[in-house]
Order: sequence, then structure tokens, then C-alpha cells
Amino acid sequence: MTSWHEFVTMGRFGFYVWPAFGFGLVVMLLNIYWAHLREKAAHREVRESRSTEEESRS
Amino acid sequence: MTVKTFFHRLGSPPYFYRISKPWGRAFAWISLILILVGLYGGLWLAPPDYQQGNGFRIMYVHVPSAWMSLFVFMVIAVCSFIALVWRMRLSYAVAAASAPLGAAFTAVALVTGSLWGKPMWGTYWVWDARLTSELILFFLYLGVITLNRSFEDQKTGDKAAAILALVGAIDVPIVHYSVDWWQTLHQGSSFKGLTSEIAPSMLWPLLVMMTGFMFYYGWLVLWRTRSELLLRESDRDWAQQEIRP
Repeated sequence: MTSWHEFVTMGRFGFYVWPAFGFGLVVMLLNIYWAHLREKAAHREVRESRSTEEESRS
Repeated sequence: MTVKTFFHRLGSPPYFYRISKPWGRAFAWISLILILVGLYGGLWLAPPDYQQGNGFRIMYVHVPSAWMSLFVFMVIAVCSFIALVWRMRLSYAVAAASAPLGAAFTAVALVTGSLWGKPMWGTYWVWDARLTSELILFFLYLGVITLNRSFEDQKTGDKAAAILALVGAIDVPIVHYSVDWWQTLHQGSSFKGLTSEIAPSMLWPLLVMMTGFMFYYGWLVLWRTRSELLLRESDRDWAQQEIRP
């Protein structure tokens, strides 16, 4: 790259290059968010299992 | 501890759960650094291609995603085989954790490939062997995910998904060799074994990005596998002790 203008426009390919990288970034961030949600669901499942066990004991 | 003992212990869900957390954090930082370095090299330092101009830079997200889409499916197939033969619970969890990640990599490969295809070929999509077999791989991932979550009994879901993954693994060499076996619009493989036709100034950011994607997958698969283990063993003592009220 020789200038910021060339970087932003990517020659005449900016219309294709930036959406490609943008889509990749969004999916990678979504993967992290989904992993977080799955972890929360797993923790909730363990807690519910514990309270069910405690209820059955009492 | 011998290697055999280590792998034997690694198959134990509580042991895996405990040792995987620090590894996951390390992988996260390594992947972040590598991807940032790869992006700087690919988007700024690498020279424009003499035919494709700056459009070739899509390669820095497309090729690692496409490569990971094949690699992750092979991981799922190998884990499925181990799980079905040796009934290793951890293998089912790794396979279940990998499937959504593999589907995401495949989606990125398909979309970025389309965005590359329009300026280079004049169309977003053609039904050639490489693109079609990659699309089939995406549907296979969706099938594995759906089967895994479609049964009330998790063990039945795990087995059904494992069988589909083993059968579907036949698509991986088809995707890889499609450009050699058939006449396709998609360009041929840039890597022949350990050698490449890509100029070194363009190649190193690609290799850095591919390694970064590998660590990114490593990080998330460890994270997701920990959750899968908790979901599968929520009533076990070790899980109750790990998650405090």
C-alpha cells in the first residue's frame, strides 16, 4: 500500500474486500458470543441439577 | 507421566475441564496477536497482485476459513470414530463443540469466495465442483448440529451425529481435490505439499492468518467443550463442585 486512499478504496475492489473482512469479523465475534451463551446455559443446567437433587433429598 | 497416561487422563471429563481453561486463555491471546499481524501484513504490507490487484487480499480471510472448514470436519470425523469405537465421552463433546465452529468457517469461506468471484469471474456463484462440494460440506455441518440436538436422549443424538460425520467425511477429499479432478472455474491449489507458488511477500501473512485461525479454533473448541461436558454431566459430583451456587 502506498497511501491511505489506496488502502480504503482497495484500488477498485473496496466494495468486495471490506465486506469480506467485515463478514469474517462479525462471524468470529458471534462465535465468541455463542460460546459465552453456551457456557451460561451449562452453568444454569448444573445449578438446576443441584437444586433438584437437594429438593429430592429434603 | 507417560504420554499414554496423559492421554488416558485427558479422556476424563473432570481432568480435561480443569486443565483446558489456562490453555484456552493462552490460545485466545496467541490467535489475537497472529490475526492482527496477519491482517497488517495482508492488508497493508503485501503488494497488489499483478492480475487481481488489491482484490486478491480477500484471500487472507477466504483461504484460512476454507482450510479450517475442512480441518474441523476431519476433527469431528476422527472424534466421532474414537467415540463410537472406544465410547469416549470427551470425544462426543469435542465433536459437538466443533460443529458450530466448522459451520461458521464454511459460511465465511462461501461468502468471501462469492465476494472474490464477482470481480474476478463476473459472478457471485457458479455450480462448479469446488463451490458445490463446499456448499454440501456446509449442509453436512448443519446436519451434524441438528442431529446432535434433535433427540431427548443426548447419547442417541451424539451417536446419530457421529455416524453422519463419518459418512460425510467423504466430502472432505472431494472438496480438496475437486480442482484437480474436474475442470473448475475455481483456481487450482496454491499449495503443493510444503511448497507454494505464492510470492513470499504475499505468502507469509497468509501462513500467519492460517495459524491464527487455528489457535482461534483451539481457543473456542476448548471453551465450548467445557460447556458441553457440563451439560452432559451436570448431575455428576465434579460438575457440582466446579460450579458454585
